[in-house]
Amino acid sequence: MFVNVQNQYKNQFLEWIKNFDQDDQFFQIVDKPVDSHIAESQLTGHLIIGDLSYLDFFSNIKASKILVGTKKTIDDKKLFQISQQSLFFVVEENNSTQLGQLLKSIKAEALKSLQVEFVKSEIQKKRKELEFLNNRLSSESEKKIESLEKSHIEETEKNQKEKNLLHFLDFIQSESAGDDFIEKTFKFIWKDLKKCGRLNLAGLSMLASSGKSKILFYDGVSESTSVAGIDFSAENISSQLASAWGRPVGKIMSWQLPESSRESYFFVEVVDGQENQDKISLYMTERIAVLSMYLDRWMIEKEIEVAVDRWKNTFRSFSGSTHVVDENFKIYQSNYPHNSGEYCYKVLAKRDSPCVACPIKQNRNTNFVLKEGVSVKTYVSQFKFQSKKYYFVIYEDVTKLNQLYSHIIQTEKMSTIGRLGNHLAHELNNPLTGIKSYVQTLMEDQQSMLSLPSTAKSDLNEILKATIRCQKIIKNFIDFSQKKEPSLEVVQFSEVLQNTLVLLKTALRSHRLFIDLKDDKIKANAYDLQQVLFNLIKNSCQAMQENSSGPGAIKIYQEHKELKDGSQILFHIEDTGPGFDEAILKHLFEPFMTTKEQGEGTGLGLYLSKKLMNNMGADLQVTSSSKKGAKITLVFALL
Amino acid sequence: MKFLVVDDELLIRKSLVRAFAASGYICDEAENGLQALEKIKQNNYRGILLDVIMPDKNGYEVLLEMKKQTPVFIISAFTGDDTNIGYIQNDARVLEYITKPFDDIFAIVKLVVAKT
Repeated sequence: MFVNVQNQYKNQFLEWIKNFDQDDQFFQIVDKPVDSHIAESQLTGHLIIGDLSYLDFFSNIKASKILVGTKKTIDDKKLFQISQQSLFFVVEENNSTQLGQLLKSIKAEALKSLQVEFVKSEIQKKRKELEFLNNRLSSESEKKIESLEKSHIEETEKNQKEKNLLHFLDFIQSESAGDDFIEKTFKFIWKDLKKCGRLNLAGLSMLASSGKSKILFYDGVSESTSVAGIDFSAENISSQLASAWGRPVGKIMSWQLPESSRESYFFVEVVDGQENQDKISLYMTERIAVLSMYLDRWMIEKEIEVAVDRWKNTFRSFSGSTHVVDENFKIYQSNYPHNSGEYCYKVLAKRDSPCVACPIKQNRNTNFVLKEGVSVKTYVSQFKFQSKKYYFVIYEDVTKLNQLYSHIIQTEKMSTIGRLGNHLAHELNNPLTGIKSYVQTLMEDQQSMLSLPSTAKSDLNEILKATIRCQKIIKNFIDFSQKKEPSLEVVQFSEVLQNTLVLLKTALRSHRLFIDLKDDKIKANAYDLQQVLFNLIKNSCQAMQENSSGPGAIKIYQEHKELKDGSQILFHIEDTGPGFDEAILKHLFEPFMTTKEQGEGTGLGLYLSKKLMNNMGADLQVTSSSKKGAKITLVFALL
Repeated sequence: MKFLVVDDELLIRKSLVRAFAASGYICDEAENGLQALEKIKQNNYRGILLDVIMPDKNGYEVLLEMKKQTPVFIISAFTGDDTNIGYIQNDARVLEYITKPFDDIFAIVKLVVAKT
């Protein structure tokens, strides 16, 4: 505490300090003299000690003041007023004890207040510290919150990523068996990669079994395939692809499929910068292992599919009916729409037991009639599969071939018969002419006739007629073989029929004949028509004989038919025979088609009859056929 | 005068001879060209009925080698495979063509008798 002391009290004050404040040096005298001439501004100490001459200053000075004076002075009224002011102490002049005590108490007071100040400042300090701590704490917690928030975002991101990955796994698992797996996969990855950055296309390169790499790529719209020898293990993929596609190719990022059974790569053509490429790279790296597994499976399935397809198509493309049959005659595989597992003889031959000439039973190629109307040539080869015996059998339908072959034989036969017949006809003509001439001579010879029985003349006449008929037949045959148009004349159908029936007396003996005809005339060659009628009636008689359930009946009747382009007259010949089989019906008018036992018929009857009718400008038709009989109709134009 | 019937076919030949005989005419017979030429040389015939296709000289060769102007009636089937028909047609001695087989043998007899 700085003290301004009036000079006259200085010694006394110093004495006191010496006694009581030696150690503490609490009071210090400001080196400004305090006397009656002192200016108020010079009194800068905390404590001012002076006598009444300071009184005028005292009232204006804020420091603590000690006024030293006499008892009497102190009792002064004015002084009393001043002494009532705070910080103003009055001590008796020359009373060192009182001053000492006062100073002591001031000191104690001051020390006390100093202590308070100290505590206060300490509190202040502590408060500041607290404040600081508080500030720090709050900033720390903010930081903490911030980092918490940050980690939460990271967590979310991580979750999202995991979710995406799971989504990808889900997708690839559920779609892997689908037909459009690769397309869907491309689309899926495309959608995800688009979020990472811009890209031109995504693709898959795989090494086909041919050694060439096949590239499958997707440009966000559609999927395409190209075959090119791209070596992904080399560095210049972009330029390789550029030359394969014929366009500039951007940066290619590729990932080899690690689980792949063949060298395969997934690749994308990227457009944007490094940051996006990193994202794409991360995305792909996370998925490539799984992707690889499924893509590989897909590729293998595809390859198997192709192989199976190729095999199936190859199998189906065999023109003959081709089957794989096991040793129990069950069809294992077939290029016909037969259910496998069926018995081959049931499905193919419509039988209840294996065919007699079964190629499997004999394990050799055979030729046989598989079913009615179908002849086959078989090629068989045996093989073992899973320790079971199988037979690969091709049934070549040779029905047509046989028909063609027999047709060739028939044509050849016909032409031979034609040539021989021509010769034969001429050879027969001579003796026939002789017979006829003799008969004629005999009949003219009256003397000879007289020596013969009375019936001789009519008998000779019959011989004459027969020879004439023979000659006509021969002539017709020659005409026919020389393809001459037969000469047509107007004849009465019923008359021609009657002439024919004479020759069929024997054949008709065991059957009944019903004729219902008018006298209609037609344009025909009588001899040809006779030949036709002869053939038809003879056929009917023979057919009805086979069907030996009593005598048969032949009905011959006529019918008129009005048509747009002229009227027709039809002559029906109906019998009660067994009719024609459906299979035979188709080939009825083919030469050498016969239902008769070998040697009984030539199979030319109906063929020649139809030919003869057609040559006359008429027709021969089978108008109905059932198990109860056949009906053949001769169609002529109405005159 | 007699007629000569030349035909290798016995039945034709004999029936013609019988028919002529029945009509009151006598015929000689020859069964091939050689015999025919021999008989033509030795006899004078009223007419010759000559077959074309025969062994040992055919009708064509007979016509070519016979010098006499005896009327000839060609008997043939006229099958169209006879390449010498053209020559026969140009021979003035050939009066008629008779087609085998005959329809009526007496018509032939009448024709031959009438033409000679």
